[in-house]
Parts: sequence; structure tokens; C-alpha cells
Amino acid sequence: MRLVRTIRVALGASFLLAAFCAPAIAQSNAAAQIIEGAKKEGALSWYTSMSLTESKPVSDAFEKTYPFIKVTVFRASGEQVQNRAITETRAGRWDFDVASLSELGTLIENKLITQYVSPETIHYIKELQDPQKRWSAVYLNYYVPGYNTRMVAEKDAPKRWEDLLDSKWKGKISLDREDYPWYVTLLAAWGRERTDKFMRALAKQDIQWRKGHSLIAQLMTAGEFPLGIVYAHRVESDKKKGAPLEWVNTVDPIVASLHAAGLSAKAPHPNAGKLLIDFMLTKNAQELFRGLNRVPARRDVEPPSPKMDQSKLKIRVVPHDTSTRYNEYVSEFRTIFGQ
Amino acid sequence: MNESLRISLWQHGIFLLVLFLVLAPLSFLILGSFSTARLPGDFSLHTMGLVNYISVYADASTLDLFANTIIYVGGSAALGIVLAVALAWLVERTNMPGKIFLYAGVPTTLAMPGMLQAMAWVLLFSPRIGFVNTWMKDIFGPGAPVIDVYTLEGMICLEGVRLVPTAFLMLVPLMRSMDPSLEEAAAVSGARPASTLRKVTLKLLAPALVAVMIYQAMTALEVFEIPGILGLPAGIYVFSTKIYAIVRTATFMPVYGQANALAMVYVLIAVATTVLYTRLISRAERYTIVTGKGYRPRQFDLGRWRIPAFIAALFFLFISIVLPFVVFLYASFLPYLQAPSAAAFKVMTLKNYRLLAEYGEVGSALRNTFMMVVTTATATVALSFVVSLVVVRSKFWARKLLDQLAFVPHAIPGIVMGIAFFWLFLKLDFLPLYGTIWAISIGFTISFLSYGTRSMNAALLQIHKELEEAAYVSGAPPWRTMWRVFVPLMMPTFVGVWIWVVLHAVRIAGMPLILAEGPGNQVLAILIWNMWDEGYVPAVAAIGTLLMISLLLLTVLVRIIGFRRHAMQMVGG
Repeated sequence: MRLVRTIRVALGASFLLAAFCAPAIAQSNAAAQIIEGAKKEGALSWYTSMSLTESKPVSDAFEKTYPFIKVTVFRASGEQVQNRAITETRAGRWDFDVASLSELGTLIENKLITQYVSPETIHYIKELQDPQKRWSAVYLNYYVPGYNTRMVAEKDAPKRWEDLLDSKWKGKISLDREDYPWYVTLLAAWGRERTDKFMRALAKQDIQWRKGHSLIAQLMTAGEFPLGIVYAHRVESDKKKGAPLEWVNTVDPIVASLHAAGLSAKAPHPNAGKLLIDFMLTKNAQELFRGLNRVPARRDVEPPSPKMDQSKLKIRVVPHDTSTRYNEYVSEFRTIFGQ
Repeated sequence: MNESLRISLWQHGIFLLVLFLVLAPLSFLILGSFSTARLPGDFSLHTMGLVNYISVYADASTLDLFANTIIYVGGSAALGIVLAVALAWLVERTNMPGKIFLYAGVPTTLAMPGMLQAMAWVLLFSPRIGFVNTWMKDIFGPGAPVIDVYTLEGMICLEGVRLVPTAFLMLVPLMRSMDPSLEEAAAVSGARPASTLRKVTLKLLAPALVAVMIYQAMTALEVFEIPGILGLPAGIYVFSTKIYAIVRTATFMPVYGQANALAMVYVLIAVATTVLYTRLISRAERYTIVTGKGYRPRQFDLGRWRIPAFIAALFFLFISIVLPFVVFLYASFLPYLQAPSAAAFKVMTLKNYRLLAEYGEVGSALRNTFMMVVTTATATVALSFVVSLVVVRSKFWARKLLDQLAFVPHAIPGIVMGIAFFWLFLKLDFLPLYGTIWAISIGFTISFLSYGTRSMNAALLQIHKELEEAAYVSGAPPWRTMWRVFVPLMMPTFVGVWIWVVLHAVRIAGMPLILAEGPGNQVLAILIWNMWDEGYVPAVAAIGTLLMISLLLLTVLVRIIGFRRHAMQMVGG
């Protein structure tokens, strides 16, 4: 009798336990299925605008974790990745499994990306999750004012965007001639009137136009001009090498563009693709990005410098509708700056 | 089979091949210029119209654009040609000492990626941080004259210097194989050396010079890096920067239609100039210089000008190669870009060279590059030679059209060409070409065909018909005439074109970038471009340094072999 009761209790308990753990088991089942599938696929094609010094360690670390998957990386500028992916798929050739870009909007708009929510997503703040489940945030890129510390003392450096309008900076500020995302985001944050006033006044400052934020950072280091709009991570990594550079984290807003990953709508290796997205969102991979001076998107991974802490800065992510209204914004920007 | 039928079949075969390979990107360019579809795949007749032309040419700034472009192109082409003629003449037709420096040094400039060279000039001549300018200030005080590289003049000087090696390589073989009897006749009849040069030498070279000039003007028109890096900061726009700006309007989606509409100017200029050129060579007999008579170019005695001439040539090398090379070498050891100082020398590092070994998949990139470059150079030489043979030597009905077709690729911007071939290989999926280095090779061969045929045309024009007629009369079949008469006489041109293609294919990234895919066809140029894009100027400088050293060795090697063969022929003859 006692035995029967014990069995009953044990059965009941295990039933309860099973009911309690079902989602977890289901999840690990799903994970096991994905890994099984990926083993059969054995390969993965990743299109990205991530730089060589970043995509290479990521794909190496991924191959180490999943030795049965051979990763092929196609790395080019964002524009070329988009072009290639769209042109290929129009011709009926679906070669890529994962695309990761600073602006995934165009690929989503062209229906190249399917829904996928990585289990890692729970570690990301709501603003960095896609309500429509298509993109996953990987890291952030801050557009900020930067300066050469040999030419500008910290107390004289601009603190707000409006400080760039001071007459002492005339002819001394460098902008990228394609700083459109920066423009669009200020417009979204400030509204039409304030943005217009600011941009028109800035246009009278004899801007030193260059192409490419990296080039601007390099020339600023060499002393070609004291001030410019640069990427914060770039300044941080050059600072570590001893370059006389600093960036300003008090501007409102700090414009942040998002490097996001998406799964191909007709991926030849969908399981391997899911694994790569999961992998990029893990704590380990996010720490790897931090090691490369990127600002990790994941909540529980610290940024490379306390200066970059998301929670203490006034960050504004580049609006997601930018790609659909792009031409409009470009022509506005060009009219204002007389390009 | 009938002999003439066989030849005609060959001619048609060559014609159709070139027609197909050129028409594919060309029709892409032309149709695209009328299309408002943003992608080649969206193309349809409904989206055709003149919208692109109107929005591009009705722009108020277009007039300025034309004016700047004409000054820039004209200035740099003129400067380039004058320097190239002078240098080629010095090495081929005079007894100036130390010629090997020029043979080896001048082509080496081609190995320098344009953006790096422009960057080097910024570091040398920027009014604020240029080494030369700060150095002059140190010597002459604050009132010292400042050289400003961010001007139209700066752009012209740099592009002019960059044009020299191509023109030099085109001119050297022509100068070498020139029959000196006419010059001698002039000398005997009492003409002074200067007027002999002007009235005889340059006149004989006229068709070649015109060809070189047309080619160079197109190059200057197309080059983006120099106006991009030097002109943009000063607000000086030319055609190429405008096209680039339109193509790049976007991180989101480029507007190829408008870029194509603007690029149509290139095609028009290309067609107009080739028609002109065809007219000129239709009276070709006048210019034949290599005849059946034994020829041995005479060397002009510079007398007491030997050393000054050598010093002037060295000065050119110093400005165009040594100075930028020193800047590269210096930058390649820096952790970040800075002006030279004691502090800079203290922080020097080998990290950039190590970075290459770590990240670049350098091994496979090198192997791929080697295969791609050798295939491209050899294919370009072979195809250009047969095309020129038909154009210059045959009575083939479409020979003029063939010549124009061969020149047109030069008028198609690299990026448009790349996309066209990308699309073509994507569509022709029964050919296993997509995403391979062979795709890059084919694309390059077509775009270099214009240079190859210009060189070959000019060289073939100089060879008198009596040589092949003599061979024909003595019963030699055509292939043997080719092998025994043309090939040996053309050898210097073959070598010149081959080297030129190698030097270009190694560093041009525009096309491989779009055709490339992963490690399967990773080539060096893409590596350089990616590093530049990501702002690793010191790392790019490191690749540039290695590239220049290896290409210098290659040119010296080819020249030494070439010289030995040439010397043997002289002895034998």
C-alpha cells in the first residue's frame, strides 16, 4: 500500500515537474532540432557590412563553437551588400542565409528577411527589439562630435550640438558629405523647425567636407581640422593606441545607428543561419564586440568605456522608416548644405 | 577549306566575341540611363523615360561641372603626355645614363592605389599639416609660400603625374622601333636637333600620340580618387565625383539610372574621339616606320646635357614615386596617422604588417590574385592583338566598328561595368562563372581591351606591309607570318601591355568588389579597399608598401629579360 502511495506521489510530483518544465524542455528540444538541422546543412553564407577585423573573429569564434559549420563571409559596404542580395534574389538565386547591416530596412522592405526571434532576445531592452520580429540588434554606432586634444582643450570643446555654431569653429568642422542618418535622427528628435534652424546655421560655418567617418577621424588625428562628426567607437579605439582624440557624450541626442541581423526568407541553410544570429546575441559574442570597441546592444554587457553607457546617455536610434523616405531626406540635406 | 574563307570566319568570330562582351555592359548602361527602376531586375518598358537625363543635366551646377571637368581633364592629360613623351624619348632615343631607373621606376607608380597616393599628397602638401609646407615655414618663416593641394591645380598636377606611366608604357615600344632614316635625313639636310624632333619624330608618332591622348583624357575623366580626396574638400566637383555621388546617394539604394545618364557623356566622347582617330589612321601608310630595311634606332647624343637630363628624370621619379613611397613606408609603421616627429618615431610598430597576416586570408588572396592577374594580362594581350590585327591589317567589313567597340569599355565606369557583368553571370547560370575569379578575369579583360588595342594599333601601324607581303609571297601561311614576323616585332608592345595589365588588375577594386564572393575569389584589391573603407590607413599603407616592392621587382625582372632578348636580336641582326 505504502509503495502504491509512494509511486502515486512520485508520479504526481514528476507530472507537476514536467508541466512546470515543459517550455524549457520544448525550447531545448527546438535548440536540439536546430543544431541537428545545422549539422546536416554543414555550411552558412553571411552577407555583412561589419568590418573585416570584426566579422573575421566572429566567424572564427562561431566555427569554433559549431565546428561542423563552414562559414562563408561576403563583406562589403552596406550599399553593396543590399544591392547584391536584392539583385541575386530577383534573379532567383538565394545564396545568403544571414544578412547583417547597419540599415536592414531595405532588405526587409524587399521581403528578403523572414521572422525569427532568437531565444537570446530576452536579454535586450525593448527599444532594441523589433515588434515585427524581423531584425535582431547586434551593436550600436554613435554619431558624436569628436576633437583633436592637441588643438582643443576639454573646457573649450562643444558640449551641445548648438555649440558647433560658435563662430570660433568657422572653417574647422568636418562632416561626412553623406551624414544623412544623423540629419534624419535630429529631425525626428527635434522636429522640423529647430532642426532647420540649426542645420542652416551650421551650413554657414564653412564645413570641411570629407567622405567617410574613418577618414575624418584619421585626418583629425593628424591635425587637418580640430573638430568633426565621428563614430565614438573609432575614437575610443584610436585613443587606446595613443591618438590625441576625444569625443563628446553630452550632446542630446546621441545619434545611434543599429547594426542588425536578419534571417533570409529563403535561406539555403536556415538552421545554421539561426545559430549564427543566436551566437551574435550571446554574452560571449557581445563581449567580443566590446573587445573591438563596439557598443554591445545586449543589456547585461558593459560598453567598452563607461563613457558609452546606454543608460546614462541620451540616445536616439536612427528611425526605422528612414529607408522608405530616403530620397526626400537626401535632397533636403543637400539643399541645406548646398551640395 | 578555302584560305580566305577561313580567315573570314576567324574575323567574324573575333568580331562576334567582342560584340557580345562589350554590348552586354553597354546595353546595360544605355537602357539603364533611361530606366527609373532602381535595380536591373526591376527593369521594364513602363519605367523608361528621359527623367534621369532631365534631373541630371537640368541641374544649375552642371555648367560649373563641365568647366571644372574640362580644365581638369585637359590640364592633367597635357601634363601627363608632355612628361611621358620626354621620358620615353630620353630612355629610348638618347644616350642618357641610368635608364634602368626609369624603366623600372616609372611603371611602379601604377601599383600605388590612387587613394593612397592622394592621401600621401595631402600629408605632403596640405596647407595645414603638409610636411613640405610646415618644413618651408620652419626655414623661411611664416611668410613662406604655401602649396595648397586642395585646388584644381593640385588635382591636375597629381593626376598628370599619375597618367605618365601608362603613356610611357605605350610610347616606349614605339620609340624603340622607329626607323631612324627619316631623322637622319633631316639631320643630314641641316635641320637642328630641336626641329628634327618637332618636324620628324613627333609627326611620325602622331597617331600614337593622339591615341595615347584620347586614352589618357578618358582615364582622367573617369578617375575618382584624386578629385574625391583633393577636390571635394574645396567644393570642386568634376564628372567622376558627381557620378560617384549619385551612385552612392545611398547607403540604402543607389540611383543607377541617373549615374548612367551622366556616364553617357563618356560614351559619346569615346565614340566621337574614336571616329576621329579612325579617320586619322585611315591614312596609315604615312606613319609606317618599321620597314623591310634593316633598322636600328639611332641614339641621339645629348652631349653635355646627359647628366642634367638624368637629374631631371630622377627628380620626376623622386616626386612621383620616392616621395609618396616614403610617406607610405612611414605610415605603415604608425599606430595612427600623424605628422613625423621624434614622438612618432618612438611609437612605431610592426602591428600593421601583423594585422595583414592575421585577418586577411592573405594566403588565398595572394594565390587568387596571382592567378587572376596572370590570366587577365595574357588574355588581354592575346585578344587585343587579334582585334588590332583585324582592325589595322584586314579589309574586314566591320573593322572600324570593331575598333570602336574595343574602345568603348573604357568609357563605362568601373562600377557600372561590374554590375553589368554581375548581372550577366547571374543570368548565364549554366556557365559556372558566378562568384569565381574567372568572372573577375573576364570583366577586367574587357575593360583593359581598350588600352590593349590602343597600344597594339599604334605598334601595328608602324610595321610596314611589305614585311608581311614578303612573307606571303615566300609562301608562308598566315599563322607563320604572324609567328615569325609580327610576334617578334611586337614583343616590346606585348611586354608593355602585359605589365600594364598586371599593375592595374592588382589594385583596382571597383569591379572585383561587386563580383567577389567570399574566400573563393578574394583578391588583394578587395582587401585593400576594405581596409581603406574601414579607415585603417596605416594597414593600407602596409599592403601598398609590400605591393610596390614586389611589383618593382617584377618590372625589373621583365625588363632585364626583355633587354637580354633585345640585345640578342641586335647582335643576330
